[in-house]
Amino acid sequence: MSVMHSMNWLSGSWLAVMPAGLLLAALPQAAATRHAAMTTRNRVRWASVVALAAALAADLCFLLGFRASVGLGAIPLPGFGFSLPLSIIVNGMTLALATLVSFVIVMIAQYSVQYLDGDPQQARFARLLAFTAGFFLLVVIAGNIGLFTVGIIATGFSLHRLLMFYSDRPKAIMAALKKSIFSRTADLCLILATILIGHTTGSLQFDKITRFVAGSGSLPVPLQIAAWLIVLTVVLKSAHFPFHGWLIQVMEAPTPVSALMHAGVVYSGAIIALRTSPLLVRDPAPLLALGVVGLVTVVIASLVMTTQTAIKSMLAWSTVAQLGFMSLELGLGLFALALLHLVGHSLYKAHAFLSSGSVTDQLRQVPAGGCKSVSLSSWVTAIALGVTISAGGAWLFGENPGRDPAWIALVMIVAMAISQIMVKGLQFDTMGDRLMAVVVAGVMGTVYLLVHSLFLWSFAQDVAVRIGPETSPYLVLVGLTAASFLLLSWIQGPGRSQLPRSVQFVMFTHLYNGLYVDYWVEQFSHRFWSEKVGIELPRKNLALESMESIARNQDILVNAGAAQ
Amino acid sequence: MNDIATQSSLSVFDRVTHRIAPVWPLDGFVAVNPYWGFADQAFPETAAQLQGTVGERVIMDRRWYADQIRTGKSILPDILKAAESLGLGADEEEWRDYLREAPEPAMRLPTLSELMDRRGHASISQYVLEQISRFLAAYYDRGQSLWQLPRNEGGSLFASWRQYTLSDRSLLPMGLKAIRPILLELPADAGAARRWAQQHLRLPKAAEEAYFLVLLKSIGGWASWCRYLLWQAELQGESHQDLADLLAIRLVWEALLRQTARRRTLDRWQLQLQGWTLTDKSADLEDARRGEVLLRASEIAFRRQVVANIRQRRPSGRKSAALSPQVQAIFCIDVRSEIYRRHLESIMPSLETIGFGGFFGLMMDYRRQGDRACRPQLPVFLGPTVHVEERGPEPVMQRRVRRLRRSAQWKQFKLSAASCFSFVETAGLSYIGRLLADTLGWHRPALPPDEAGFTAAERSKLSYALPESLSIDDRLDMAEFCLKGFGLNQDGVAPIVLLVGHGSSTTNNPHRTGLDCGACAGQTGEVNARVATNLLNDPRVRQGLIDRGWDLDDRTCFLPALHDTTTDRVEILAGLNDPRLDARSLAELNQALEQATNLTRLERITRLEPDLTDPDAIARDMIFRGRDWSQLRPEWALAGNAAFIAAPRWRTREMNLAGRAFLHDYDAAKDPGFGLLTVIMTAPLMVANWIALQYYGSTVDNQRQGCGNKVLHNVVGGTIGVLEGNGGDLRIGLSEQSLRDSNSGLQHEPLRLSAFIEAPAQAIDRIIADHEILRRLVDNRWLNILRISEDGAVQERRAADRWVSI
Repeated sequence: MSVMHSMNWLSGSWLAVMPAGLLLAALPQAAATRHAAMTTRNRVRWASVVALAAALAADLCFLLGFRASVGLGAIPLPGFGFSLPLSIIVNGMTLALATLVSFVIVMIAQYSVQYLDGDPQQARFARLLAFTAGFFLLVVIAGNIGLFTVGIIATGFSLHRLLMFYSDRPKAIMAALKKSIFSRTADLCLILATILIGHTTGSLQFDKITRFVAGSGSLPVPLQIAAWLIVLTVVLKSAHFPFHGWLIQVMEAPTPVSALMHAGVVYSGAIIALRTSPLLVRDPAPLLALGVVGLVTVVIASLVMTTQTAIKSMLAWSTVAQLGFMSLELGLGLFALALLHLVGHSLYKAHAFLSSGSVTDQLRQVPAGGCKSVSLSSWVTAIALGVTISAGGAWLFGENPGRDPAWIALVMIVAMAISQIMVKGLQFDTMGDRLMAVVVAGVMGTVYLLVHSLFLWSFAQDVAVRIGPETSPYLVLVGLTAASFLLLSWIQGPGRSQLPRSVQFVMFTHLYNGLYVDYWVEQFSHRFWSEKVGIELPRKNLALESMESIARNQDILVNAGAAQ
Repeated sequence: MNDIATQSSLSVFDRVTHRIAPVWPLDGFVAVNPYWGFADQAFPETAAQLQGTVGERVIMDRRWYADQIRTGKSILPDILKAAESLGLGADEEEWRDYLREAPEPAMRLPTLSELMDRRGHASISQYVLEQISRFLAAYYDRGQSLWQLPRNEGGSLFASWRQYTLSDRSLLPMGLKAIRPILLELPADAGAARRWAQQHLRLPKAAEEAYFLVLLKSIGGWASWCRYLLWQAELQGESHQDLADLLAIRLVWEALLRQTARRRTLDRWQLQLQGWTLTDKSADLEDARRGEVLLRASEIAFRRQVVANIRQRRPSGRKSAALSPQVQAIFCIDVRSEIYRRHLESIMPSLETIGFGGFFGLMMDYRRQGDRACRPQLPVFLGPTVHVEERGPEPVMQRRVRRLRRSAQWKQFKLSAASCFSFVETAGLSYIGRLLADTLGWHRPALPPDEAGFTAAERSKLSYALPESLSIDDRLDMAEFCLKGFGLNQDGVAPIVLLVGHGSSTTNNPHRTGLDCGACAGQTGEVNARVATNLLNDPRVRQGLIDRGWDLDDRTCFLPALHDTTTDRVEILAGLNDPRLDARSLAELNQALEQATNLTRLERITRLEPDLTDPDAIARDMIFRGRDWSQLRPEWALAGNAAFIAAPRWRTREMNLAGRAFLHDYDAAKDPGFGLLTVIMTAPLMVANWIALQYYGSTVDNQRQGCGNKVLHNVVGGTIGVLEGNGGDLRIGLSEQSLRDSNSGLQHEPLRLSAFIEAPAQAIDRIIADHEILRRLVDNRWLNILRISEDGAVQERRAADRWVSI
């Protein structure tokens, strides 16, 4: 037992290895040659494998009972009244996130080895990838809001370089600059929140904040402001409508960068909300505001998503919608569920981006048949069946909407989701196919409830639980959520065709262009950075590029030969 | 008067729209000659014109040629020789100076929208391009979006665009809101709108056609797409308005901008237009002529290797083996076959290979059960005449339908606006497995389209049926056409005849069909090989052939096979249990195929992964390449192609052409009326010419004729094409990764195709004279014709009846 006690820091140290390894791998300078590309990409790949191994080792240690958070000292901040601890928080959520993020990074690093093979700048790419991944892992394991803020700012800067990887493309520069407007604002909010929290509670540690909040009767005003600032950070970092423009344009960077963004970095907002959830639940207003922004984003972005005609644009809009949904869950106080969403979506979106070139092959398969439009009757049937299955499931799992009104929204969301399986199934002509759809829908509903319960049970200690009583704005949000999902399902199903054609056309045009928000942001950015964004498109010359690159490679060889 | 004005301007529009070459969609991405619309102009004139209007490069940068000379890949005497033959001065010093000077960029014709771009504002020219491109993506979408643009039945492209733009509110943030009321006044008829635009632009007559071309080329990818729609319509003998409408859209945009542009911008534009009209274009032409000399010099250097190795006499040593081969294998003329054929022949001397188009002479289209439309399986400029259906046992077909339906439901769950959120919470965790399996190559993100929904065992039960209604006479005609094409009409037929189609195995590659068989319209040659062998094995057909005087042994078996060009495996697809087959020769054949696979891999790996040497590692690498979802260079496809040789195989047997030649078997002695030669010169030669020029265009100007960087590709419209990055124009042609290797070296040397034909000069001349399209290509130097004479000497055709020895 005493050994256990003295080794309590084990999990935390494994966690510390993860960012350290990647950042070390990123440090050495690399030239734009083939040789440098090969060594750097391999180094970064192995560093990411080491990070994953460290995460798994930390998981194991955690399960064996080494569960203490680790502090590696603190950097004093004179004049602030608090210091910046170098601490690592060890709990289930940290480990889940660390494992998830390092796994996704391994996949992306491995993918990039071959994918960018032959790019003269591959070494630079690998280094930037390692920097971004390393700093983001720091964000994941940070045990206090100060270190978190430092990590997120560093991640932002290295990601900026990654987004500008093809810096001769004006649109790449534009997207990166747009991102920095929102990112820098969010960073500023976070710094202010950090100072307010540190000033009020005397510590930046997440666990100290939790204890302070639990101990105080009513929330002090600076902490209320901090809660608003954190929510604003979430809104900006998670690309909520109308601040989403930068996220949908990151296709100007290589596919693995899109995967890294959409499957990792973009969750920094949600992570800080989860970490500070004990603070956030104390003040209902900011959380509700977050929920409302999330819901608006869900409705707009998911409709925009269905109109998109390019695969990566569709995936990007889908991320915007999914992040909105996560914020909606945060707003409804369903923190553990938001974590589940984060994990599931991260894995799904990483795969979706990396495999985005396969869409053509999928569409070349024999079409499944079934009619295109959905009749009102089959839609109503599917919805009714969906509600029955999901409400029945919730009842079987012992959930009571009367006790927890969030379940009204959840039942509705799940019902709409599984009814989509049946909407498609009911279009087919054979009874077997239809029955199969109902069965699949039932299974999916059950799986959902199982995973949901598993996450609630696993992470109950790591995030806050919303505290009643239900205020009427909360109930309004629940009602709006249920209604919005019904509306989404209706518009996608039979609803659209009920509208006059001219209305459909106008709706389509507005949605297809993302309600034009981005055009305004872009004009603004041009004024802001008129010097940086060129208007001339680059003129590529393969022959010259190839000559230059070969000359660079040979130069290195000649130099190396001379040195020997 | 007015009438005449409209008449003449109509022909301007017609001329401009016909300058655009088509682009095929991703579900049948065949090579296209990007200069197809310029075939009626000589090569240097076109180069000068494109450089001086659109700013498109048609000839490699001269610094590249200088580098070729520096590294010894090209030599000055060849340049002098080329200069002489093209009628330019052949002074060595002059050429040295020319190669040293940096090229001066030609003066382009600027559009008004480009002149409106200002620093500190979003680019207007980019905005116009994006606006049209986004609209067209929605208009033509082929399966990406769940909510499609509500199209007006019977409405034209222009009318739809007008309606879209009237509801498009992005004009306001762009500072172009004054445009809307003008557009509202405009008629929805494209012709009337075009006339309105023409009147308001008031372009100088001398610059009008060039200006229209620049406008259409500014959205050139989508213009090519519209040209494709027109091409398909023309094959059916119909017409299609969309390309003309697209030009109208772009013209109207320009005219609308003219109404809102500032005085100063307009003045500058007028000035530049005048300047362009007045500049002397002869300097550009001079430069293009010199560029052509450099190009021709590298062609001469390439040809020299071919000519030096062409066999002069038919080998007599192995007469018996050559006269009665045990196996005849018919391969596609594709350059990738050349390597494999060479190795296969070296291993099995009793085997004879024959080159023929990979569609095996079947003018067919094909429909799988459940497909909404047929897909052509023949060269794209021919129309299908027979229709083949996929057949299979009822339970098997039903199982496929059920599986595909289940995956359609799953997809709906995954993607719909109401369910995607719960989807990630329910099924998101399962993507751990998917990510791992796809990374390690255990699973592929999408199955090859024809295999989806079947297990391997189920798939082997499929059959490919010609329509019942096809009469025995028609079948016999088809069979005879095939056999004559293969050149099997005199020397007798071997006991085993292999028909080897080809396809590639690649994963996560939107341009997958670009690696498949071009002669089968971008599909694999599997179906064609199966249908052709079924036809030739049909007892009724065989009896009929004998009745028609064919000397076909009863024991002869035709077997379909497929050459996987990524892994270089050749697999016999069916017919192995035929009792007529001799087990020993079959075993020998299988062994030879396997050995040839290994040798071919060894040869190919030097271009793909020069560091690999261990044969096992090479085999693993080759197999994994096709399954690796991050692999952007699964194979080099046709990179390096430069020659087309139509001659008996013995001329080139044992000659290492390094995968650079299309090999078509042709023996003039067996073709008294030159009917087959006519077919060869108007179909396979044309395909080869298209491929060569596609590679040429993509290499010399990847921005205009190629599709850029694969790591930025963003598939648009499901199967329409790709965008590079976030938006912009539809991209056509080949990617950088298909042309350039990991060490940045170009794997394709841009050359115009050199076609070596062994036939009498008069016959070749007559065929060229009789076929207008071919004549244009040859006379305007888009295609080089050479002749192999009986003694193996080679002459080049300079003009009709003017053949010069080289």
